[in-house]
Amino acid sequence: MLESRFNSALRDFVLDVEELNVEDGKTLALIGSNGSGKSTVLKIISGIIKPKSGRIVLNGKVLCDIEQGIFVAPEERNIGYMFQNYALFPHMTIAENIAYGLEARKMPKDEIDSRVSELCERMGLSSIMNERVTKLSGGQRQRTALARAIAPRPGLLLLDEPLAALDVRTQEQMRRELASVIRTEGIPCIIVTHSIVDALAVADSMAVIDNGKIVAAGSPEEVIHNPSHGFVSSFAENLNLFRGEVLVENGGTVCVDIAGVKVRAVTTLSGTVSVGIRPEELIISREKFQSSAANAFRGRITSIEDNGSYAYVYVDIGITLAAAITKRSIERLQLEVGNDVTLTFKATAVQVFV
Amino acid sequence: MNTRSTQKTRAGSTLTAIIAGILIFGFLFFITIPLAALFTRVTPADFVTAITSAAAMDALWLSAVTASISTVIVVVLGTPLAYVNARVAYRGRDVVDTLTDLPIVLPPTVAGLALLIAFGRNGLIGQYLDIFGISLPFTTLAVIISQIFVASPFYIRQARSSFEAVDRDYESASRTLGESPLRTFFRVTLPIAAGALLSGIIMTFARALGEFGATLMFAGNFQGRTQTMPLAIYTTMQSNMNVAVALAIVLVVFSFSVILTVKYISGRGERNA
Repeated sequence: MLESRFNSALRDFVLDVEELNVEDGKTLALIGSNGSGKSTVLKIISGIIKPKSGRIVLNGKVLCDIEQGIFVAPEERNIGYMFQNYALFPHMTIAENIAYGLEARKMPKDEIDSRVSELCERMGLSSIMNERVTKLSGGQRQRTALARAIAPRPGLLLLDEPLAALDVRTQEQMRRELASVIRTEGIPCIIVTHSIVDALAVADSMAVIDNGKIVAAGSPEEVIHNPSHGFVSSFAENLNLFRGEVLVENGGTVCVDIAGVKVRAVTTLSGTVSVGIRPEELIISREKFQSSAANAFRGRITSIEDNGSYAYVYVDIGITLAAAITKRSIERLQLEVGNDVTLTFKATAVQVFV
Repeated sequence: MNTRSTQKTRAGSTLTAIIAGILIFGFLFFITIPLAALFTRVTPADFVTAITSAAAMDALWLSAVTASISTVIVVVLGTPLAYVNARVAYRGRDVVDTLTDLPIVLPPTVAGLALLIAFGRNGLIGQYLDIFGISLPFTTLAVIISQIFVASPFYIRQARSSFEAVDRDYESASRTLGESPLRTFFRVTLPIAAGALLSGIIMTFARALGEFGATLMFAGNFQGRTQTMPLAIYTTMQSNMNVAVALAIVLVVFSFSVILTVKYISGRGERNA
């Protein structure tokens, strides 16, 4: 169990976290846009940055209490930290990276070896465990970084944008693996992300951070479906988040019924689910065209929202979906509010979660 | 109209190329000819006789030993400073940086004079050393002190930028995995910076090997004790030109290999990153 409150000021950025708690064995997703202060939160909890004031208690042990002059060094905190860029030691192999924290704890050699091979096996890294990490693919780096962070069985696991550095296809798979690893290890966990989809895939609770302040916290349900703060609702709106009912059709393909609109998806879940369709995965065309994508709907453009180099085009197909399109495409297709268009997207572009 | 302007541009660029070519080859000629001249001055047989003479052997040996010792001392003393300057933004860092860089632009004679005034028999520190019967000037130790003074910036500058190039996240990762700052330095920072540090070490060694002015003033010119290769070249030039040329050739070949090696190391470092 983690209980914390702290604040810090770096140059002109003020971070003020009044309360951030994680229950035993639970996962908290901390969501925020770039520059909201979410990575700083992890650096403060892990002890890399000393807060100006505050108190951090992990499993009954006071790690930091500025008022009482207590500040435990990061190496004494037993907190696993997976960095956004992974920070794998480039002069070491996969196995050496994973063993690093175990060696630091002076664990006997044979115990280190068995823990490292156990983790390599679980992460599918056994065949390459003696390769230098500089040669690895994004997914392999991600798994190595995760294995390194959990190897010493930390009391708390901090994951900074664990999926951001991966391509979309690898993200799919890693999102599922990450969720399974977190549940198996039973380590309380804070996952920092700017993606609600990632957060929903792994989180038991959710906190939204904006401009250095926690603006919403609670269960994923509460945070997303009762958005009390403008920032959260804008966050949820543009992500095409819906609740729906899974219908199994003949031939094994799955359909999610969202307010009468049947969207094809890939999932093993059933019953009532949450559905997210990333705006950048939607293709807008004037006419319907033949394609391998499982979903194609006719609809009418209800609004176009300028967003710099690209724009959100809202299309009503029974439900309103936002599609992120470059401005050049809008000009080329001469899209205007009121036009009838076709929305096309793959079944794998539809994220289904509990 | 269009064609004519294209032709004009083409003629212009040819002219530019010719002028650039003359300047480039002129410069390379200017650098290469004196160095090549050294190699034409002695026959291989003369070279062997000269290089095995007592004066040359003494100078080679003394240079190798003193430059090695001063390089080791520079690394030991300079590494903590370079690391702190790379990582800690303290008040006055720029002044400290400028101070450690100073010997690069300072004439070696100024360094020699300064060392004499500090460590000479009546010097600022020398007068106290004299009480214990220690006299630094005109000893092999003075050679090493001169080399450290003049060559240290080459290592410290390079070391600072190599440490700055190591992403702090590596160090943070090591800390969260349970290693102390000191062990993090030896297990993570140092190995990652190693290639770049090696370049600095090699450059420092080469600079120490070539030290002349400060050594001459502070350590004097005694064969076998303070007469390093550059001093031996200066001395034997008047009595035995072959020895001077042979030593000069050794220094040219060594310096060339040093710079080539450093270029190779840093090139490899960039490719890895």
